Amino acid sequence: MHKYLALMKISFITQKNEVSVLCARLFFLLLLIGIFYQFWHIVAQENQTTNLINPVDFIWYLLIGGVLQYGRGEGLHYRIEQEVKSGSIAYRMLRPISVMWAYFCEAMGTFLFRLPFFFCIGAVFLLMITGGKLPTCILDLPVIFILMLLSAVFISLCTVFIGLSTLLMQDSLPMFWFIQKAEYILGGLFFPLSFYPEWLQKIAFATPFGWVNYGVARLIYDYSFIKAVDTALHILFWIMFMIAVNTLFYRLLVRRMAINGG
Amino acid sequence: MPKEVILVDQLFKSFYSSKGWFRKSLVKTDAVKNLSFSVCAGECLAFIGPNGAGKSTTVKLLTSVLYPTSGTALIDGLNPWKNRCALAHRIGVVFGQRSQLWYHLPVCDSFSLLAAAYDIPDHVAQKKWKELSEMLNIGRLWRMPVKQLSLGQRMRCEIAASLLHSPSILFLDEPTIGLDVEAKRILRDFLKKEASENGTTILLTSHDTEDIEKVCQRVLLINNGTKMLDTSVQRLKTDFLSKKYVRLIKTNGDSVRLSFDTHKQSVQSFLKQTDLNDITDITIENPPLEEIIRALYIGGEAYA
Amino acid sequence: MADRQYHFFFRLIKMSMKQSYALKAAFWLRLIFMIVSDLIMLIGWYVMFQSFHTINGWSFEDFMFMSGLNISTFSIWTLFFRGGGTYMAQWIQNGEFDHFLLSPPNVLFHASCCVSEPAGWGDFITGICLMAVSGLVTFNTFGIVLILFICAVLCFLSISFILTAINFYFKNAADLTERLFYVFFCICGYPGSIYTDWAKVILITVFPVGLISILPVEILKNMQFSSFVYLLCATAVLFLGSIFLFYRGLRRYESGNRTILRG
Repeated sequence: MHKYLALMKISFITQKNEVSVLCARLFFLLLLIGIFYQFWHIVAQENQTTNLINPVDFIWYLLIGGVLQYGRGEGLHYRIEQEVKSGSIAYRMLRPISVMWAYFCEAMGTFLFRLPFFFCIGAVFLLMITGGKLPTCILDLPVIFILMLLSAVFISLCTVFIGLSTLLMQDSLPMFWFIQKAEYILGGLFFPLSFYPEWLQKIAFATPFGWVNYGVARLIYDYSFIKAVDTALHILFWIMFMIAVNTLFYRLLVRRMAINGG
Repeated sequence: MPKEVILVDQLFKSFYSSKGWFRKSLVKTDAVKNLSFSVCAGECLAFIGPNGAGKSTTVKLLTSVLYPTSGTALIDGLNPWKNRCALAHRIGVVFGQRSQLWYHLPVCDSFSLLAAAYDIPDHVAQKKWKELSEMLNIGRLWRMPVKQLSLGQRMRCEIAASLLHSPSILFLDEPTIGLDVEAKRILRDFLKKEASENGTTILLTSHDTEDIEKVCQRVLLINNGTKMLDTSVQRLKTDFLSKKYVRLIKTNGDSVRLSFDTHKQSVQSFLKQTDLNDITDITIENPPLEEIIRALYIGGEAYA
Repeated sequence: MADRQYHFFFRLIKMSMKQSYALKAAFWLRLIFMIVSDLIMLIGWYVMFQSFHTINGWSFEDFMFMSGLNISTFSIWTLFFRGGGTYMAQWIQNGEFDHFLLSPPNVLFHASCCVSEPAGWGDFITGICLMAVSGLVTFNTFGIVLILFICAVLCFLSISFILTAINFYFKNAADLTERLFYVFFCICGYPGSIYTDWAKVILITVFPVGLISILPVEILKNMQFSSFVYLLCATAVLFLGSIFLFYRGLRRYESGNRTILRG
């Protein structure tokens, strides 16, 4: 356990040194929120029926979704892909450490640094543009934050999965785009799931994204203890699922490695 | 007097890097400083120097990869930075650490692309390949994907690729890096033949002294971007060979190896102080070229 | 001489495709995944337009046309010029650009054409289908759509060249190139009508993303001749400007010493 924590710590510390990357990510996060907000604003103006969520709640909703999007470390899936392709992953296997969990710890370390960092700066930005107005469920923020951490665990596992998908497709990019777009639509990053027709909502909640992204973000305007627990349980289930899938892929990788000699 | 095909005059190349987060200051590094030399047609020149001396930078400057800070150069009468395309037709370049072949595809595909790049009709390119493949012993690799080639095979294909358009000047940057003894031998023999039979001018950088000894007639030593020495390989040996190794074989079969420096001690005094009784045989050897070059690197300034 | 160059580029593109199809199973899987991910995005927007009908004057058909144009433009880039942009940025940053400088063909296009991503066929099919079903392409407008498509491809290439050229002027900027590309895609992905007038002006001048998303739809919807002329001129200026910027930057290129294999 100790060595995995050390790995996490290293990737956490690395973040401090990558100031330019952090600033760029933050800038794009805020830009994206800006575009979404503008989009929502226009839609709300044209359609009176959409006044179900007030603009302040909506922009905070976007922040939570955005932080989960931008908080993840970029390029890890690409690195895994390169290591699988070049066979250098075999050298990593020489160390007394599970490569799969090592990747996960790396992803998680990055997340642990960025999540609070982006959230705090993003929150200040939102307070500035909304003139200091707070969202409806601001007092429940600590619970939401814990759920965000759970989501981060799932997303980190997912990143490792994308990298390992190289095994199937010789390339991780298609899976990356597929999951990214599924997350956008089914995770309600696009606009809240409550506006979707029922059939699409059902699909969304049958996938992890409905819980990991939308499930957590909606709590900022629609909080109840039951909902929070429900979301947490669902995310935990999907974390277990992802661990199982990754383990399977990893075993497959090891077996192929033995056949191909890397 | 043969025509000078490479003419370099007061060439400078500096790189800049910035330091510091807030108050950025530019740090200037001179990779090539006031370099001037010339090479005649058909000549084989070895470009030597320790790591970071500016060898590769010079080759890159002369082949139009890099743009100089100041100075001029004429390669076969062309300014490399103004006539990149025309120059490309006349020179061939091999970088030991770079490949111009397509990794997943058979060798023939890369060659057909190169033929198109150099405007060579396919039948001419085929003929040239046959000629080169015979000399380099790579005929059977034609349909093999590059990823399946060994380093030695790949390097021979690289050289063939660089010579497909029959350039009059060939630049080689560490062509024998990582090759085994046999592959090195084939490559050296080929280069020597290419220069003597086709009159190709060769400019070669290498850390392997045998490359220099076997292929080149002239050596240009640079260090810190400046020219330290420009002499023939033969003169390099005679002028800088002050050290001698003497091996004495005694009657009982034992052998003794002694060395002395002719600059510090005369031959006479050396012989006087050596016990020559019971000696059945004596050999006097010059130090290998490698040792000379090492001495030059260490005490480079002394020879400038 | 010119037809010789075409001959080379034809062979180059053929080879880069061959290289990427070397792994056949992967090719099909990627193709399918690409189409599916495009469709997922489209379903999202379909649902959106079902609820709100129009967004500031843009209907779902307008949006479909815009997406189709974007996706197919993007696919031309991934299929034929994938070397431009992120790949080239990496090569410049790592000093791996030597090979292109050493052979006679045009450096910029040689480097751009030597990578091809087969998944682009998925995007290409989706893009063309979207444009076709949008209803904006009719027998009468076909000619204009074709010109708009060519302009869009040229603009996209120009932007990829500019984002590449950044790497000559700033060190370690490959990451920045990738991020700017992402912002670029992101802005392209929304109906042009959501941007305010000021933002629109910026998007068709300084950050010319609008030339391939907002302007073509507006031209086709309103048949504005002046916008059309502007688009043609802006495309020409952008294209020539990007090439100029690239070659100016090339003088600052610093080579490197990494061991490199092509592929």
